Amino acid sequence: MLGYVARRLALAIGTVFAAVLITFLLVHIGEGSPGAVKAGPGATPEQIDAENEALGWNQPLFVQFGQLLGQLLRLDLGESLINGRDIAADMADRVPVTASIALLATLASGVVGILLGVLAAVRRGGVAKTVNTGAGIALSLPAFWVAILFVYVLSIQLNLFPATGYVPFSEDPAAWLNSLVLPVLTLTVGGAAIIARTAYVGMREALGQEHIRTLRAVGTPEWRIRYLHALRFASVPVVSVLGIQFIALFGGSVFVETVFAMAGLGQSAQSAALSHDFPVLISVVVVATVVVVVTNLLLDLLIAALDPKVRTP
Amino acid sequence: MNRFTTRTGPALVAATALTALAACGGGDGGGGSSSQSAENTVTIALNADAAPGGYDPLLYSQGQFQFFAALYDSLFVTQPDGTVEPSLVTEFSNNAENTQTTLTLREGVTFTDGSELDSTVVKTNLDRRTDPLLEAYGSIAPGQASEITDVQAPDPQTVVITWAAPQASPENNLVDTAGIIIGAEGVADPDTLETAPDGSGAYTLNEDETTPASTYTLDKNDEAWNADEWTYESVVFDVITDPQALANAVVSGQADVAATLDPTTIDLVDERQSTVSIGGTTVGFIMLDKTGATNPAFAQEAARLAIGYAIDRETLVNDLHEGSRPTAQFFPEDAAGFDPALDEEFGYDPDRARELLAEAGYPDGFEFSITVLGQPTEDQVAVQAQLAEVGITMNFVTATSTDQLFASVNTDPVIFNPFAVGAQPAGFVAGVMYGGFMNVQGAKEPEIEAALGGALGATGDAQEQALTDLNRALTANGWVAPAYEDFTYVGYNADKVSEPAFAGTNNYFVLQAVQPAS
Repeated sequence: MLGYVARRLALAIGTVFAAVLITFLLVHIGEGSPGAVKAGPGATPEQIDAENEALGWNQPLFVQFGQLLGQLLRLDLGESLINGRDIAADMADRVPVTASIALLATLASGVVGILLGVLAAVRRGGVAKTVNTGAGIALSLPAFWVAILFVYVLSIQLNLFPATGYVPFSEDPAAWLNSLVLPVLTLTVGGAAIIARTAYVGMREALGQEHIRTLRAVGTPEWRIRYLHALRFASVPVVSVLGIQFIALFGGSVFVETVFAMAGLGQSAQSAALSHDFPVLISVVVVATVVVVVTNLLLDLLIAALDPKVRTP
Repeated sequence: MNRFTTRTGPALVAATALTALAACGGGDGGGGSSSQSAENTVTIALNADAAPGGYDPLLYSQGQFQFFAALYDSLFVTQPDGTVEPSLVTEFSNNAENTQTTLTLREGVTFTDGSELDSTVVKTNLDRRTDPLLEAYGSIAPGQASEITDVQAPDPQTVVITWAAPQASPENNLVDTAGIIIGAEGVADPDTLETAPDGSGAYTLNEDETTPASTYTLDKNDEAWNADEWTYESVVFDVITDPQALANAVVSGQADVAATLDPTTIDLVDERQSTVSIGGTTVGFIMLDKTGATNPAFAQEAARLAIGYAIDRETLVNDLHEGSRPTAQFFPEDAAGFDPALDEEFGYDPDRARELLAEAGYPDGFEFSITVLGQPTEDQVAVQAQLAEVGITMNFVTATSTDQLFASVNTDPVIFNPFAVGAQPAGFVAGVMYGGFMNVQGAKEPEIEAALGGALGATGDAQEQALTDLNRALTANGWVAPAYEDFTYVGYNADKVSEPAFAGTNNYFVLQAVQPAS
């Protein structure tokens, strides 16, 4: 297991390095320069060049990349070209927003999806048809429409939850949870549908395994067979899909952050891209990549713990 | 397990969980935003980042004063009734020619950096007017309509400003954002304003509770000279760029005020909360050429009038501009001189347009071009189709730079744009439409000239009548062919705050005038 962990760790570090390199090159290949952003719209080419010189943009690429790596290793993300704010401080404000949404939506999708999937696999017949049909419908609903529906019914009509805004956990845990209900519900509709289908297929396959029949033959209680042995077998694909969902939610949170007016990473990435704020853009990509890589690493380790066959090199 | 438990149990659990969650957060939508809150906090949702490039207020237009007014003070401020009142100034006077203004500054005003307000700071601020990036100084910059040629500081409390040309009301050029004064350190090194404001306003920025581009929290500075004049202990600005989310924020109680509402969300906000609006921006054609120098058809009054009669304003508003008001006259609804009869008299009438074309010698219509930057707007495309119905062909010439677009006023017969005449419509007509860039050929029209003279020279009822005559003369002589008047809508929670008051005819509200609901 130790060798497996070391291999995955090395791969994770390599992935982060590659992501930083690709982002760095994309920023340099694209149009514009930080000097032009810094100097403002009416700046002359000379003023832009002077700003670029001061920012180090005119140095050879390998020098700039080396400086960027050095900065990242010191956890120094630099300053925004637009508002001069310390990017690390900005990320510290924003990551909890996106992470809260992604984490809670993943958890809710997992709980609801596994419950429904297992229920369908165990009950079969009408229940299975209902769950699978419902999952199909849920998957076909556009997320923006679901968001509008939830806001209209649960916020505007019933006044149960806030339609916009985010409250930090440290400020008020109950209000934090309350502020996340609508975005999490929105993302859970589609997420739970995917998990339900994955769990259903996994459980059906698990319940048909030879060792399950053997357990029944030796008189193992049915609940133990279903919820311990079969569910463990079925959990590998479910955990994989949950991990992918978390990654997708973390990296693709622009929509939900916009609709619910939450100051997360997605919103930052969007505004940085629109305003050509290169340092912020690179930082968002780096932070998101690190989160994705760490999630993948944890996922691999969890799957390895659930399924020993995976640990074999 | 019985059937009830099996089928309805999960639903009950889910419903109970949701209700419990809602109960956790309290009423009013559960509190929602970090800003929502205490009675002594007002939360204002804005549809654009109020400080996208930091806290240098001079980088922004007048409209941003609804944000910067809490952090900075201005030499003069616009009141809800439209009057301009001294703020950092205690007294002022203008010389007989209105070419020199003397200001006496308020004492005891301290900036965030610890410096005191004095004439040197004011002079240093105004001397930044040569910086082309400072949008607030657009009109007082060199070469502009209200150019300042000199600023003197004869003693610590006195500032003498010299204008390049006589000004109708010199103090109006130093109002709101244009009159904001930044502290000594900030003005000496404006780069420091990227991250922190340096004002003397009644509030200071709470950096711990501020996330630029998303949320700005301002806390009251009890030491400020005017702290007693501001009601709330905290002002929170939430940036909500999605139009629907902006409306939802005020509807469901996360924001007390939401500006500016998208027209498509007005009904929703009106149904649940309240809205207030202000017009003042007229969109449509202004005939640049009345002499035929760029296109012979435009020398004919009848041909120019035909354009106005060919515009189906109701359809344009219904299809593209919900919340706007179809109009055939140049003056906005709230301006002195507005005449509802003009909209009826010069409204959509394609048959009359064809008659006028025949009368002008163009029975089959005529052709003209207008310059657009990039693609024509939806309005321009829609109007192009409407003009084609009566035989008038409008072509688009694409400009590749703003310089080329600006230069087109010399070569195009007409321009289709939004125009805000402001509180002094006669001044706009005199300075821009008759004696400015909208009349480069110097066309003369005695009817307009007479009405303009009356509007600029008279007062009271006589002035109002002259403005009405001027408005009619502009329309009846085919100098303008407006399509609609655009409105700015602000949503507010009437249970929490009073109706926001706009700064006179400006389309931004007076932050200080936002008060708790009585």
